[in-house]
Amino acid sequence: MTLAVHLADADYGWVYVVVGWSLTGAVLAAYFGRMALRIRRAEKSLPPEPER
Amino acid sequence: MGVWREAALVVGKDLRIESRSRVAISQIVPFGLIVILLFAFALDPDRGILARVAPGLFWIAVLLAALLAIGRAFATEEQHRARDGLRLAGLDGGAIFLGKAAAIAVELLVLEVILGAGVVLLYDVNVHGIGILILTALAATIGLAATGTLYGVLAAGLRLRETLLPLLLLPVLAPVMLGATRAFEDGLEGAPGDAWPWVALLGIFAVLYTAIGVLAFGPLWEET
Amino acid sequence: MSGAGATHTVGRDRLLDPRVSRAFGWASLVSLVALGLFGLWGAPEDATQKEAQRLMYLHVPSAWLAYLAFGVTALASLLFLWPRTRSMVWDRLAGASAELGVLFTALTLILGSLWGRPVWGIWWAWDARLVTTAVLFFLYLGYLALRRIPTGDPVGAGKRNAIAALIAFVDVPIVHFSVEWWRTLHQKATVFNPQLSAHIHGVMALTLWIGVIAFTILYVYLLDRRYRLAALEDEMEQREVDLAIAARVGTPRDGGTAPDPVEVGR
Repeated sequence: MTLAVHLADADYGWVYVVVGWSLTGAVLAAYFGRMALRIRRAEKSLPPEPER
Repeated sequence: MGVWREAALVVGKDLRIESRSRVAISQIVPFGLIVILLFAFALDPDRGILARVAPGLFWIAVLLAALLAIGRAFATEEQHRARDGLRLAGLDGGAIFLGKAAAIAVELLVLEVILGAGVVLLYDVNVHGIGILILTALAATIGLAATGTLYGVLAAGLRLRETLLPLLLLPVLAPVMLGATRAFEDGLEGAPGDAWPWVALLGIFAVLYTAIGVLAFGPLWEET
Repeated sequence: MSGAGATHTVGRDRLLDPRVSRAFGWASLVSLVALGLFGLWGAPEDATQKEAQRLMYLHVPSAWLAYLAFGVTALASLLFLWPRTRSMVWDRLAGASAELGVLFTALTLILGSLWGRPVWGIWWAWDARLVTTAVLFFLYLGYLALRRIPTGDPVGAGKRNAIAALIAFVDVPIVHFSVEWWRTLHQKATVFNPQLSAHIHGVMALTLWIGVIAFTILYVYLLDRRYRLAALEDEMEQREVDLAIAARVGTPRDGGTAPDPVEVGR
C-alpha cells in the first residue's frame, strides 16, 4: 500500500490512530453482536431451566 | 516388566515395522531431500546465500519431514486394531511414550545424517566443529521427537489429523528451531563455544517435553 | 458439580448471575467510552510520537488481556485435569477464555503494527515480545482448532484440550526467553520498544490505567457471555442426544461408534 509508505511520517499518525481505533471498535462490536445473536437464538430454542 | 523394558519393546516394534515397510527411508527421506533441492531453486545458488542460510534450511527440512514421520508413527497404530492390542498388553503409558518417541528419534537422526550430507554437498558448506553439530542434533531431535509424539497422540484418531498436527506442533517447536539453527551456525563458523548455551536450551526443552510426555501420554492414549 | 454427574449434565450453565453480568456489560461500555474520551482527546499528544501514541492506549491493554485470558485457560485446564475438581465447567471456561485470548492477541499484533509504522517506520520487528505474541497466537489458534473437532466423549475431549492448553502455556516462557536471547546475542539494539518507557506519567498514565481496567471489565463480561453460549450449545447437544436415544430405546445407534467389544479392565 503505497499510501501507507508515504504516511510513515509521524505527522500522519492520526490516520493510523483512526484505523486502529475503528478497527478495534468494529471487531469488538462484531464479536459481541454475533455472540449475542447466537445466545438469543439458542435461548429461544431451548425451554427455560428444565428441572434436572 | 520395567518401564525401560516395555519402552524397548515398543521401540523395537516400531523400528521393525519401519524396516519392513521402509516408508521412512523410501518416502520421508526423499521428501527431505526434495525440500533441500527446492530451497536451491528458491534461493539462487549463485548469490552465495545458500551456504550462509544452510543451517536454517536444514532444520526446516527436518521439521517438515518430522511431521510426516510422526503422522506415520500413529497411523500404524490405527491399522488392525493395533491400538487395542497395545492396550491389552497392559504396557505402561509412559513406556509406550518413551518407546514411540525413541523410534521417531532414531528415524529422524538417520534422516538428519542423510540430509546433512545433502546440504554439505549441495550448498557447499564447510564443516568445522562436527562434534557440536552432533550434540546439537541429538538434543534437538530428542525434543522434536518427544513433542511430536505428545502431539501425535493428542491428534491420533481425530478427523483432520493431518492438517491439525502441523498447526499444533510447529509453534511449540519454535525454540527448537531457534536453538538448533543458532547452534549449527556457531558450530559451522568454528565458534563452538557460542553454541553451548543453545545446546543447553535444547537440552532443557528435551527434558521438559519428555517429562510431560511420560506423564500425559497414558491418559491421552486411553482416550483415542 | 462433582463426580460422575458433572460429566453428563450441563452443570453450571452460566458464570455470573444475570444481573451481575448485565452490570459488567454496562460497566464495560461506560469504561470503554471513558477510554475513548481520554485516549483520543483527553490525553495530550506525545512529544516524539505525536498522535500515533494514542494507539498505545489500546495496544497495551489488549496485550494484557491476551495474557490474562490464556492464564485463565491454563488455570481452568489444570482444574479440569485434577480429578477432584473435574467438571465440564472448567473445560467450557478454558475454551471461552482461549477464544477471547486469540481475539485479543490478533488485535494486539495488528495494533502494534499500526503503532510501529508511523513511529518507527516499520510494520514489524523481530524482538522477543512481538515474536512471542505471534507464536502465542498460533499456539492457541491450534488449540481452538483442536477444540472444534467433535468427539463422542466430552470428558476425553476435555482432557485432551486441557493437556494441549498446558503444553502450549509451558512453551510460552521458553519461546520468549530464547527469542530474547537470540536478539541480544546479535546485538541488534531494539530501537523498536513498544512498551512504556518509565517516562509515562500524568494523563497518559491515567489513560493507560483506564484502558487496562476497561478491557479487564470487558473481558469478564465477554467471558461470561461466551461461557453462556458454550453452555447453551452443550445443552442443545445434550437434548439431541437424549432425543436420539429416546427415539431408539434399547437399540444401539447403527453407523455410529458401536460399543467396543473388547473391554479393557481398569
